[in-house]
Amino acid sequence: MPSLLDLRRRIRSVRNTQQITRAMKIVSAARLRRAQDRVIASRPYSRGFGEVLQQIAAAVRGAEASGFEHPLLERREESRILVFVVTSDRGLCGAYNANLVKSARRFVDDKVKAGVSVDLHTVGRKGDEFFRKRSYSIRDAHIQFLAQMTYLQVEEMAHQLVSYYSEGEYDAVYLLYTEFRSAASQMSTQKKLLPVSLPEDGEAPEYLFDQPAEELLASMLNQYVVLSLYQSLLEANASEHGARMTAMDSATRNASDMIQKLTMRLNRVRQASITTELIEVVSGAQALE
Amino acid sequence: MKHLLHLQVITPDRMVLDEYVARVTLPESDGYVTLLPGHAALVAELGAGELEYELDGKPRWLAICGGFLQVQDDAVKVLANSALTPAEIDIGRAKQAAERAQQRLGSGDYTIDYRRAASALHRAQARLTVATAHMEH
Repeated sequence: MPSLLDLRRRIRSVRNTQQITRAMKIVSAARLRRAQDRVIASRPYSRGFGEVLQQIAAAVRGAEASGFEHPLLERREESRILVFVVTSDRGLCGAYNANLVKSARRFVDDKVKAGVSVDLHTVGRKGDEFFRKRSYSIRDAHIQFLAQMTYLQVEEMAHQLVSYYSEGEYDAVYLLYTEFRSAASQMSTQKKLLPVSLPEDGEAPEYLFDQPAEELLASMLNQYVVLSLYQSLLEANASEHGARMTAMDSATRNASDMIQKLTMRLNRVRQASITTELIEVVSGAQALE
Repeated sequence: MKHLLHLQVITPDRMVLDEYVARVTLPESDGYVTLLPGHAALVAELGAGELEYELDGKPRWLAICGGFLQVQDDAVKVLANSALTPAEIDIGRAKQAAERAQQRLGSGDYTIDYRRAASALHRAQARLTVATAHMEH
């Protein structure tokens, strides 16, 4: 049976941990709100952009039956691909990184088995460490990036990817990240960044073009890659904070449960020791009679 | 009701402007255009420069760079890569950026990304013009 002192120490230690998890939960909640605001703030742009892209694509398709060709739309046999893996820089966020890394690894191993040579581009320290330890080939790594990310930085990153792709260095670029559904629910998702697949349907209104629609579409495609990368990274960031908030919330709750259990045991032990003492006094007194 | 254009200036990280304006002048990739209410549907690519619009009879400015323009039924959507009001522009930084770009362009080094340097220069120049000429009083 643990001594009273041991139990008191354990309770104190659990209480300290609980204070930390509670503080982290509050911090993540604030960060999550900011991250969510960023996701929401980017929506009008992507909605507007998607609409224009769809209309232009439809206009181009309508104009010539032969079909529009552009390097970013060109589908090639996959022999070398680049896989973008987005994880967090810090831990203590539940299964967030584990889930993503697990599905990323499965994806990469499947590709390798099919004879495709795969390079990784990691965003976030956790994923980077995981794959480095297992000596996967890492082309590039961005660490401590998500929290401070700006659109211009993402643009640069995307242009780099586009140039890899159009120079034929890679035949496809995949993006593995965690889609944000709600603070409590995130999903590991994969998305094909390159080649671009154009939205299929949509009608073309009568537009005036100051430049050929094909040219316009070409520069929109570049922008489209930047935008989808940017959005995915924003979502991954929001997911991370959501996952951490949920994890810290349940950690705080577990700590409460544990404190309760320990306190109960403490009381029982204390009661037992009082009882023993009483018996001793009583039986001592009886012996004297 | 007076005939107005619904002007929205949107960048990837925020909605910069959402107003009803009497006219708007903006830089397309190959020159400035002015749009008035009743304009035909239009889609175009944007360059870097100053966007001028008339709100309540007074002209106002934004420094914008890159992106696309869509006009449809008197709704003007400017999907810019960046858009700053005169008050938001950091003149010192814009000056530095312009100098840096000029140096890169004038260095005679053929390995530089010419298009990127040139667009950086245009962007910085657009910001400087807007900031210095139209500082809000």
